[in-house]
Amino acid sequence: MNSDKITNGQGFMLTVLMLMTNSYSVVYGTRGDGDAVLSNLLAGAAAVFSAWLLAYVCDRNPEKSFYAVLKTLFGGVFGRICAILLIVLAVLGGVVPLVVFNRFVQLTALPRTPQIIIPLILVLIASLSFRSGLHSAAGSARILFWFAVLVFAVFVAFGIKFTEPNFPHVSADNVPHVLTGAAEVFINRFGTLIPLMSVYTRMSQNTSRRAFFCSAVAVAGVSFSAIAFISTGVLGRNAAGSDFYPAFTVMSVIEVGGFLQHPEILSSIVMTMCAFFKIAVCILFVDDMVSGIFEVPAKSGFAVPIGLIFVSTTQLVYRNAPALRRMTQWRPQAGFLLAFELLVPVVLVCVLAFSRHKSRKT
Amino acid sequence: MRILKILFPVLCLLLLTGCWDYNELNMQELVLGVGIDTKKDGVTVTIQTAGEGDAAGAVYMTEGAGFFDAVRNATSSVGKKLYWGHCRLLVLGEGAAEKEIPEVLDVLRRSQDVYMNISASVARGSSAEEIISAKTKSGGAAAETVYDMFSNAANSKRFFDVQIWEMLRSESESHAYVLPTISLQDGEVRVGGGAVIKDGALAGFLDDEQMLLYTLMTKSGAGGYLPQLVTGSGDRVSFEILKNDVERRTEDGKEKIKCRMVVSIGSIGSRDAGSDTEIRDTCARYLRDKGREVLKYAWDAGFADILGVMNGETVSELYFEVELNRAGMLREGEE
Repeated sequence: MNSDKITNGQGFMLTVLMLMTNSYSVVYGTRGDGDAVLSNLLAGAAAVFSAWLLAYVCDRNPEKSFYAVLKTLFGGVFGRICAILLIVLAVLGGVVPLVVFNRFVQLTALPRTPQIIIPLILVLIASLSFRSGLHSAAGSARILFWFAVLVFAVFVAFGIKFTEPNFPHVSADNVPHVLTGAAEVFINRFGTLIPLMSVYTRMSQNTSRRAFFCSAVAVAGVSFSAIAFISTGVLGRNAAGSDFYPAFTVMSVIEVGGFLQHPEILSSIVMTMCAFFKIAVCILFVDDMVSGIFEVPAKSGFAVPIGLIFVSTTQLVYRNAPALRRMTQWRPQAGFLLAFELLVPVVLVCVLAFSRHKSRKT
Repeated sequence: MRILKILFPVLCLLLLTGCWDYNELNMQELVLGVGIDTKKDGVTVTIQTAGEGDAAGAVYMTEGAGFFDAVRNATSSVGKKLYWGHCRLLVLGEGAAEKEIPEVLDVLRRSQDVYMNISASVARGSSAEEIISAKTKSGGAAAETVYDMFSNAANSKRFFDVQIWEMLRSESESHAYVLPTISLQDGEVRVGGGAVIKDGALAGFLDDEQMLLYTLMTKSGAGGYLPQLVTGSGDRVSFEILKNDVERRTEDGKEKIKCRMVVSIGSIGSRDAGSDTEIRDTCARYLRDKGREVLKYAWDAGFADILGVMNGETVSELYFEVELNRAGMLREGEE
């Protein structure tokens, strides 16, 4: 799969769509007295920084897959251990949004459909889409991205009419809430930045690659903030915080002159697309890592079995809606996950700097 | 072989004729409006459905310990599955507005097929059941007629459309808000005035004129009309509101409300109309006096916060600046 290159524009669009999964259903960072907009902006800024670090490491190892980068930096054994940890991260990062999406579809449209059906269909399509390489998924992203832009424009342009602005505010009391909200946003929205390296390493090797990638992450961060701003402005902070799918509720009340009604169906389509890209990228990343660990060529037919592991994990992860909600909310235990996600890029840059320094000396 | 390759996917389509989640239209009863009244040991829920033929606008009544309970019990009287996706009107009886709002909002938020753009209202002087069951001159369902009235709310400024999502926001942010009231006059449904909801319970009512002033003092926008006024020289003048801007500020702990309005003359009931200044002053004086009356009433009733003031006595300045726009189909006042 390493041979299938995509353009930087395709990488940009794929990254934005992948990160926007569940963006029109769940709004993270709305609990307590926190400010969801600030939390989203903070998480977005941290994500851009992390993305820049990850991209920097890959750029210093051009023409290498992300697994090859890990192997170069950590050596064979530690590289494999690191890859295994990142596989777990990618599976979690892919499965939790998939479960949230599946639960959303069940609640809004298909209440009696068995839980496994939707993840199974999405995962099988995502796995099979790689048979002809990433460029087919990236090509789809290039077309579907503009549909997502249109839906976002509808949400903002018409949603703002119903908004009573809640402008970002910080006080000594709500700083902890804003920070925990930002952590919640980062884990749930940007927790799959590392799997995105499978996309990044396939983008065109030129100077603007990093700019495209980081700006895609920034665009996603700003979009989340805008969605949070409108959702809390329409429903109020408390109602938006206690609703499982506030952005979807907001979408459902948007009405323009009795002509444009219930545009939430558009957001459902966008979320289905985004869930597909999210799961596709995570499967691609795990496939890359597994191929690297076992030193087998890419496209060895791992994608479908890996996808089925994702599907079975969705059943292990989901017990009921409150448990799912707790899983996506900030808890102190999630600090390990956050630290891991934030530290990996920093550690990679440090190891890279150290190895360069060492090689320069020798 | 090539034909088989084409035929196989086409034949597969035959397997996609239905699924276990199917929900045909004839299996459902589309809810248009719902009314909630309290009784001694629970609530009575009145449901108006779209129906078809003779059953168009059919009204079903059901009872239960609470709203959720009553709706579930409705199945035994309605027969078909109730579909709430088209429900446009919620009428709360006075008792329900006093006690049931938190539960009603909770039930609606938890439901899968309920949209949050249902228009909410409070029945005044009649039960919600009487409102929902009322006959309309058009012959249509009362729920639909009232919904049409709400769609034109901006034309009167004596009531306005409040939907469930706005109630949620108000409950979340301000704890006090106003719902439109519906009453029966000679058996006909009439919308006008407002019911003040504070901390999730009915706190009082505003009549049509009070509602007009409340609207002018809290919301900017165009549309609406003032009652016919009599000027100092005895002219009867009607006004339409072309524009209304509200400016609120606090200085030295005193709240100031300034409304800038552009009104046009709807009609003058005399041959010699008074001067613009006289007409304008009459209009401004009426608005100021009525505005003060509303402030005092709201303050005495304990819901001055709906006007955005925390203390009615601290409003040092309530000012209506009226600009008269005579332009219209008549060539008067040109010079």
